[in-house]
Amino acid sequence: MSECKTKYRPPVLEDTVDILLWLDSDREVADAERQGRDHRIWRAMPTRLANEPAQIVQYWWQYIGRESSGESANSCSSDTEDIEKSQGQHVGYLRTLINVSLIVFGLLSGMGICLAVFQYDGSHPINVVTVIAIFVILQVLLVSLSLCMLIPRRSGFSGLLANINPGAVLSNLFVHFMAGRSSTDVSFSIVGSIAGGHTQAQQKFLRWQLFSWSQLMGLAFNIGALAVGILLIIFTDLAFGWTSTLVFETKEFQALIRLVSMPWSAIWPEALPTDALIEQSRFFRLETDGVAENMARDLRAWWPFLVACILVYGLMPRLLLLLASQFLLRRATLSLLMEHPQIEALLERMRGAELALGAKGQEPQPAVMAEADYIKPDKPTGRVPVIIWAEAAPLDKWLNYLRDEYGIKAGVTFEAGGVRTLSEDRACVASLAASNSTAIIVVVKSWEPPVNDVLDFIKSLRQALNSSTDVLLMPVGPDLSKVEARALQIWRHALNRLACVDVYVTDSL
Amino acid sequence: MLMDDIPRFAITGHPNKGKSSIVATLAEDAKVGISDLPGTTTQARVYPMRIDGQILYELIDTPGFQRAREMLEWLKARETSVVNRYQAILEFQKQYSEDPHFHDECQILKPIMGGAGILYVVDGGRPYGPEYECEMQILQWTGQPRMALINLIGGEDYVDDWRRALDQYFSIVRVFDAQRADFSKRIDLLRAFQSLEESWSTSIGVAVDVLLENRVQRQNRSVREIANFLVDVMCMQESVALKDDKVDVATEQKLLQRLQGKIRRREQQTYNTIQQICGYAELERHIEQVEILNEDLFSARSFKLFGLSNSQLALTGAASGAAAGGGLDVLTGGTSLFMGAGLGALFGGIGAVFSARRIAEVQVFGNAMGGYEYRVGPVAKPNFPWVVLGRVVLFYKLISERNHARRDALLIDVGSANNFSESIGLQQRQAFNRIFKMLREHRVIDAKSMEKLTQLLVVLCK
Repeated sequence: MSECKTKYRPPVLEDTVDILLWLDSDREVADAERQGRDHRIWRAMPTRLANEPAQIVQYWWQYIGRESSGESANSCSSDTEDIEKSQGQHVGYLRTLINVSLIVFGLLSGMGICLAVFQYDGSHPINVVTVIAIFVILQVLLVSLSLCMLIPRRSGFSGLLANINPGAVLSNLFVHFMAGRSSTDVSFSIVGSIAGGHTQAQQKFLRWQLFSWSQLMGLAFNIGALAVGILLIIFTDLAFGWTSTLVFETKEFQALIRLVSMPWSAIWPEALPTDALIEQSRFFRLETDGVAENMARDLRAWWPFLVACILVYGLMPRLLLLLASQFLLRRATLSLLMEHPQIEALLERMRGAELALGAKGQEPQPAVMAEADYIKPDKPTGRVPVIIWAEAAPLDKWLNYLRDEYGIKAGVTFEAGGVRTLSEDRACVASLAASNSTAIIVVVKSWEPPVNDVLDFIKSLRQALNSSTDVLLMPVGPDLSKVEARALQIWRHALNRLACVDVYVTDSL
Repeated sequence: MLMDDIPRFAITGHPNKGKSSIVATLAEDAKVGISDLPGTTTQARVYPMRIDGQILYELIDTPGFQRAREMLEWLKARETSVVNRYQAILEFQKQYSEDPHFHDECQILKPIMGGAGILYVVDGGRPYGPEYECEMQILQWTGQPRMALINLIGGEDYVDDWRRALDQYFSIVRVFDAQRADFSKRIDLLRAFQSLEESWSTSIGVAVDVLLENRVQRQNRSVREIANFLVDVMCMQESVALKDDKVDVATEQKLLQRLQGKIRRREQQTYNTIQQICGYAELERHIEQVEILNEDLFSARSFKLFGLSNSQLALTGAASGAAAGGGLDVLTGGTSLFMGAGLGALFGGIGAVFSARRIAEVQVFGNAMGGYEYRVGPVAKPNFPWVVLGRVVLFYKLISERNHARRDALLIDVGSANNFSESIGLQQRQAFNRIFKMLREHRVIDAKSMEKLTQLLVVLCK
């Protein structure tokens, strides 16, 4: 492994999608080729990355990118980026669209709710109880509900919450209205495969993505509400009072306010309404005494408390949860990639030694056997000389077989080939040269291939004999058993290549 | 010996005795030309085993002897003593290297005289013949380390006869069925190569270790592939949009076929990958398809608008209603005790679901805004995972024990995995069933169960 510094950037969703799609199409490539390629990349990789699987994958992906863009594979320059948008980028774009939509929706709803809650026409002060109900109780409730989404398994309550998550709803709407466009269909199918995935990594990713969307919208809602609240406080004249059917005693309400203010009372005492203010700002008292000008000024003193409520119970938890969920979402994205079976296989291919068996280049094509025309020889008459080649059959047994099976009487007999010398073979041919018999039978082993040794002998025998004498090559099975048709074909094919006239290959006469 | 000291083995012998089959088996190369037609191999061809580009050993496929008797006579004519036999062979090589008459003999001698060990191949299924003696004598004269392999092509058993003959010329004689030798037999043979020449021992030892390690890796990768396949097919679903809440038989059948097609494609993909992993990418296979019936499936109908389910619609409607009602609460200064929000949520939710039926019928750009969805799958039949598991495990076993010398197609019939679940132990079966149950019920598998599934498969695939 060589040393070449590459800046590590944890894989994001876009990379994950692109890598997995690339690996999916790579399945078509021969395994040995993939093994060779991936292990070569491993060898080119800086040694310090060897124990960092995520960095190994990143290095591999950059290497593949450089190779496919034609850049030198050893170059350590910046990441390569396709000019055309990748599917990963399409998915990223879709997610950005959902994020932006959620932010806009959150801001608008936060602003709208705040405008409604902080509506003041001078006749009745704004009810602090409503503000607490919406910006404290409801917020705590919604945050708690979004935390319930983190309960594993996609069934039951957490499943339902995940189902109505604003991000999930928006995704469904996008998919419904944007489906059918070629640029987005693949992205949707990828998102769909993740959402409908069966592995824990896919589920975890989905859970954190939905949770993160919840927090993003919640944060936007609180920013919108806070911004509008502050603007109303700065640019309009607001007065606050309180009333509730449930709380009869001022002391109980004072205790509730102290409880709500507990998180900031020590560091921001101005945001803790005094007992006197709580006492004075009760609705029935205001209605009895009327809102005098000096009292109206005092009633404004509620605003730091209300701003603190939005900050502490709305904005800050959402911000913290968003940061945490982003961190965990990044981890889940990494797991989505690293725990994918294709990545496990990739790492194994990279780490495993490149084992190459087999020859390089094209294998020679095996010879094709042409159909040989079979011409049945005439049955020999008279005494027929017999040559047993390489102890193809016991001589006596063969002669009896010839007589009993075909009624042919053997003439002179010879043994050739095998352990006999070439001069003995030549002597055999010489003694038959003057033969005037109708045929000469050469018995060969059907199970042995027609090597040049025997073909040379046949050729020389044919040349020595006069043209009226046929050469009958008779392959026999072990112990004179039946000859396999394929063996007969092979012998005929060999004799055809020899191109000798009046040489016949036959297993019967 | 050559300077680089790489172990080289020349596969020699009479034509058509399975030399190329042995090379195909040991080199795991299904492309090696194998034919029963003599003279298929005309040139010596080298099959190296490389680890990270470094050659650990080489197999050299050579043509068969064609004129061994004539060659031996030529050598004997020049032999003055045992000492100069090697020299006589060198002279033969020099004289006939360009002569087509002894082309095959020269091709055999070239690697041997270059330092290669000799693997002499005979067919133990056919009778011994005296013509082999010339070949064995020539090889003996080279003085190179040599081993005889009794291949089993012919249907008979003449191994003992062959052994008696071969023992006189070869230090090691082994029976090796090139067509049927499984991985362990191939490793045994490689280990036997170690004893041919001491200096080759290290290289061959490393090669054996790498092959064993590679085997484990292939098994692990195949097992992971099988595990993912199982999880996928057990969770597969197909859905179709409906005009109303009624499903006709034709729609049901169409959906069933789509699901079946999806399962088959996934199964084929798994088979392809396993073939790739095991080095049989080109292997032809004939595997009967599993049929799924309607009654084997879970099915459900649901209503959707803008891609939102009933629950999503109800809750979105409820939230909108609550927001509107909440406005009223605010206007009344909270004196309504959030009744506005509560009632708004209630009516909003109910209204969203009921009005959705009408909105769904509205067409935008030719697409309905919503409607019913009919979903089939996953397959509910308890035997289904066992059938697919049985088939894929059988496929893996056949592939992993297969031999590259074999050229026939791989066959798996549909009934071959019918009793698979009964063939494994009770504990294993129960563990599998627990995972199958989880997948059927939740369509999700956690990391622990996936790990367990992989472990179970490793045992099963051994």
